[in-house]
Amino acid sequence: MDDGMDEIVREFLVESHENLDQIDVDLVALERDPESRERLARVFRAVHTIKGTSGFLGLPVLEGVAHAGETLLASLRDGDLHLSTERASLLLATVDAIREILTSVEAGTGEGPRTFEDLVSLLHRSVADEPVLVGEPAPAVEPAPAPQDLPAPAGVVTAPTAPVGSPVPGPGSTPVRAVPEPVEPVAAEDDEREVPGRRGAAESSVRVDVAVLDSLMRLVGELVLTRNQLSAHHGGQSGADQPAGGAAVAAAPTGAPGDHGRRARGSMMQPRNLGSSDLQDAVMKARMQPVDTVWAKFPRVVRDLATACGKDVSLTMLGRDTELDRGLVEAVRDPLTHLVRNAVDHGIETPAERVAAGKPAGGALVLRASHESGRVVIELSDDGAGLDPAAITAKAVERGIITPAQAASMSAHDAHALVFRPGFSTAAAVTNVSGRGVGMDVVKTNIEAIGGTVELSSTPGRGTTVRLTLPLTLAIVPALIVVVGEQRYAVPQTLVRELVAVHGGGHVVEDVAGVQVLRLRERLLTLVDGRTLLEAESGPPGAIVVLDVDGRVFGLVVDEVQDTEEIVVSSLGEHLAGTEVFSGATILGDGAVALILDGTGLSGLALTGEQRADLLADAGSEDRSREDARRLVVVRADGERHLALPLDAVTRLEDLDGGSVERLGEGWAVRYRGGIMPLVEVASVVGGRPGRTPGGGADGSASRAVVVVSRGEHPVGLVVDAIVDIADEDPSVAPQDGRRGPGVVGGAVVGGRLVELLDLEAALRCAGPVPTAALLEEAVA
Amino acid sequence: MSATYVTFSLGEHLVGLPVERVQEVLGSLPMTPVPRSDSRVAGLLNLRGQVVTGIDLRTRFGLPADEAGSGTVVVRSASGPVALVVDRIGDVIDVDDVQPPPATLAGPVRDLVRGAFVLSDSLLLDVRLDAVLALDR
Repeated sequence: MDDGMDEIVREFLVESHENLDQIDVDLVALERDPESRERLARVFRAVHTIKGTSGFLGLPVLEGVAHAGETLLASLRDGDLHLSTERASLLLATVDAIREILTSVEAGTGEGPRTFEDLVSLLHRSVADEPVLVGEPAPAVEPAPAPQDLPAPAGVVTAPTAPVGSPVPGPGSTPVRAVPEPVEPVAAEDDEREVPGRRGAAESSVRVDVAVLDSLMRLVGELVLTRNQLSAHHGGQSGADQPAGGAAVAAAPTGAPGDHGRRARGSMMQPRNLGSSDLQDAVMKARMQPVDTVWAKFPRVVRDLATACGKDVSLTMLGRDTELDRGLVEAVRDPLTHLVRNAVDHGIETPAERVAAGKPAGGALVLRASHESGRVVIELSDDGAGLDPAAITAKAVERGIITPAQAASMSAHDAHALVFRPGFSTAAAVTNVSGRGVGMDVVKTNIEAIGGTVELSSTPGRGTTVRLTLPLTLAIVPALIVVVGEQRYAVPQTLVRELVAVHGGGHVVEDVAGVQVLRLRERLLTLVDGRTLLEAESGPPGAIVVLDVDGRVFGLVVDEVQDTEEIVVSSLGEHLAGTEVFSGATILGDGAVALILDGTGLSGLALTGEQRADLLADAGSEDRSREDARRLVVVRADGERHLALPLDAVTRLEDLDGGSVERLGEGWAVRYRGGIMPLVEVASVVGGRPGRTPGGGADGSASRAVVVVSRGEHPVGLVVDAIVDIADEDPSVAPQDGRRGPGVVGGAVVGGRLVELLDLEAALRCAGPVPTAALLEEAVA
Repeated sequence: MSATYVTFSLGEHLVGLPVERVQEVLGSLPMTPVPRSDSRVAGLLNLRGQVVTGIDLRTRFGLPADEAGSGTVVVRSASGPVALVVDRIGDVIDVDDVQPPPATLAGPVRDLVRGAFVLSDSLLLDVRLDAVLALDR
């Protein structure tokens, strides 16, 4: 085949694939709204085009299939036949067959081994208005041909469809006879009408190879780099002569006395800056694709899956023209497909269950895309059963992902986050659709890999919403440049929640048994020391970058915080693939290479106690898995008893102000953050003497502390005599589990001292029912 | 059968790579160290706007890291360019008649050397580049 021909075939393939996607969408829509002539006509035209071109290119099988499909479509379009579910399925099967042949042609193996004679014959029979279901006896004589409710009554009477009792056209016979004559002329007319429109589109747009766009993007990336280098050179004395990778380079413009050359360059830089920014924007735009390129197949996916599950699901897609970068379109394809399948398979209930729950039998699935403050948001909502936090935590405990104590104190939001943990699957049974325990964690990993976030919210019985927030583009991201030791590192701006200056800011880093914590607005923030992490010399902390990685908030201690910079992300080569704290590298304005810190990697270290694990590794002790080393809050209560509870369960540590304690029913409570927080005396939970009232009634002099834990959405205050320590449990000593007395579930060693583990569930039970405002009013009165 | 080799020194050794595998030869380049990485990774460098991983060939060969490399040999690998930090860059020479590696070679070097060429005044080690680049072995 010569080049010219090749080119024609290629164009035909590209165009046909696009058409087929559109046909899928239209057919599924038609099933719900069979009256849409416009859609029918569009499907007809698309199949007609494929038929025509395949005849021209000498693809007889494809031509035959397309022709048979076209014949059925013509009858439907003219209102001679009604689009039943069977016919829709048949047409979708036709689309699949065309796709299969095209794929085979694309692979260079001709039209493939199959001839699709069965399908063609089924199509013919359908045109002849015979039931196409295999195994169903052919109806002898039926007075009124199938259509249950034809749009126009006239159609029933006058339509020259297959006359009742006419011979069934065999696979080999000519089916055209059964088709009303006017079909071909109408088709021709349609085509002629179509031509001017097409030409218009062709004049205003061109097909560009993706590779060209990718290379353009790379070139622009380099241009941005050069611009940054130039402005760094202009802005400071740093420049190219500065040893790259050297000490912190202050990018602040210096007021260097009279350098005319620099000033002149400055004025030249201005237009250049504008020019390259515009170019960057323009290339970005060229790479934008509507999210619909991913969504187009979802109506079909939802239909097929819903049919397979015996469910009735309607899919609504809003914001289909929302554009995002091509690279992102590819990256969200699989995660989104997984979420859609999940929603149909697990989210939406069967019609019977829905009716029993007082909901309409048909489930609704809504995909919504929009741009929000420079990011793309894609939301998938269903009105299904929702997620039951209790079921999730129970499952997580069963799988050993969390401890029962953690489960007891877990808020609904935290419980929902569990479904993203590896190895977690809520599906009770493994189905062929999902529920294999992979999935949601992969979705999260994939979305995070492109700098996005995943949030899930759910109301039991009402439905679930998954919200993906994505950057507009992959290639260039804003980042905060921080200095640790002698090196600069880039932190993606999307992770940075706030910056805390340690000097003069009134903030004190507390060193509790080798673990650094920061009290920030009454909240306890675990810290990761960047200097230890990045093998630099430790000094006094310079600044703390508060990072938010999927709701896990922690502080990164750095020596200095510099500017923000637009960085071009490069991936790390194979030799550095195993370094979990870096997600890539970039070239800074002065030409030095800087590593990009990975939020997920850092948060993993923040939560498992990196220093502790390192110490243990050095000591050569057998490593019990890192998750086993729980971080505990150690408190003193009931005289000199030391009790511990997991830090994960603790939301805040507060001092108790005796004056604000009020009587609440049989217990005590304080007004706390606009609500009421019941107080539980830990001493009484563990069977000791309640001693003083929480406010310090008896000898009110001693100040006491409150460990705030959450019960669902509501806080509960555990009153203790003092907070002693926050430290890791020593994993080299096996924990002693089992009830050791009232309110105690075991023992552990922390910092060489034996502590009792508080039974959090028992403590929460002591808090009584969730208080209401009315209850408090009553108590106060 | 003669071949052209780029040569460089590494401790006591004179080492060579076929010229086809070498993209370019440069002096010492500023390198950004990568904490928590393999000790044989020298760092990352900026090669005309491209971030390239540098491998410290001294450490790779199990030699003490007492001399800072003065040369960089950028080689082509399946996954893009990789920079090798070497002691000193030598000449580009034509060689033929490869011999088995000398029996006196010991340590990690032994697995990394395919053969040797006898030059007038020294021995040129023919290095297995793919083995050098595969740090996990």
